[in-house]
Amino acid sequence: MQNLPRDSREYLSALPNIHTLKLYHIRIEHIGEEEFRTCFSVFRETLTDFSLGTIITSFNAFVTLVNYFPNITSIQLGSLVLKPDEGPVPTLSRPLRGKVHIWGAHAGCLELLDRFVKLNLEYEELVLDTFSSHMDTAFLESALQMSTRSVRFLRLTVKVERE
Amino acid sequence: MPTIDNFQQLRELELKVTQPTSAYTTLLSSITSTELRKITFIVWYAHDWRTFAQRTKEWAYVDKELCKLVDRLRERGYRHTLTVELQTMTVGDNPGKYDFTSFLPELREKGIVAIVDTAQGDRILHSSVHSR
Repeated sequence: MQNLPRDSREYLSALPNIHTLKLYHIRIEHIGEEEFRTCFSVFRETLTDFSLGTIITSFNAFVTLVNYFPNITSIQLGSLVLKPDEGPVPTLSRPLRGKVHIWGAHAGCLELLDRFVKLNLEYEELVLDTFSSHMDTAFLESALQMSTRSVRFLRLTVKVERE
Repeated sequence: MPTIDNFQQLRELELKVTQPTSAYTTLLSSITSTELRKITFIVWYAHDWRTFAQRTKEWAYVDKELCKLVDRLRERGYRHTLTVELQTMTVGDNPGKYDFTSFLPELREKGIVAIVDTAQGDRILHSSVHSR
C-alpha cells in the first residue's frame, strides 16, 4: 500500500466501529482532515488502539492523523520516516493520554521523535523498545525528553553489552 | 544508560535485560519516585532453568543498587514495600527442582523478591516474605 486514501479508502470504510487499527508500510502525505474523514470516519469515535509502523509521513500529517481520533488510549509508533512538512502543524485538540509504545530507531525516526515529545503529552504508560537498535542512546535521550510528570509505568528495553 | 530522575510519579519499572550488569546502576540510582512499588527484570539470557538458577552472583551489582535505592527513597519518605520480580521464560525443564532463594539476598531484608516463570502463565516459582 503506497497511498492511504487511494489504496485503502474502500477497505477502511467497510470497518465500522473497530477499536484497533494497525497501519504498516504506507505513505501518509499530502492529505489532511478531509482525506482522513473519507478513510476513517466509520470508526473515528471507537478507535482506541492505534499502531503506525514503517510509515512515511510529514509531521503535520502525523499530528493531523492522531488528532483526528479523539479516543485513542494506546498508540504504537515504530520506524516512522519523516518527510518535510507540507503545511502548518496543527495544535492537538487534547493532550495525548494512556499508553505509548515507541520502537525502532533510525535517523528519520529520531527526527519525528524529537518533535513528538514536544507535543502535549500526558501519558501514564511509556514503553521504549530499542533492543535491536544501534542508536539506543540517541533514541532514549530523545524519548525521555517528553513530559514524564504523569508517567506511572515505564518499560525500557535496553541493550547492554557484556562487560 | 539513561537516567529517569524526572519520572516523579513512577510506580512500576520494567527492564528487559540481556544480562544483569553494573550498567544498570546508573538507571537505578537515578530513580527518585517515592511512589515506586515494583521493578521487574525480564531476563532474556537464560536458556534453561539450571543456568538461570546457578547465576545468582551476577545479580550482586543490582542487589546492592536496589538496597541503596530503597534506603535513599526512605530518606525521602518512601512508605511502600518494593517488589522486585525476575521474570524468565525457558522450556524443556522443571524449574521446581531448583533453588531460587539465593537471588538478591540483600534486598530480601528490605523488600520482596519474586521469581516468575512467564512460560507458565506468570507462575510464581518463589517469593520471599517481607519481614517488616
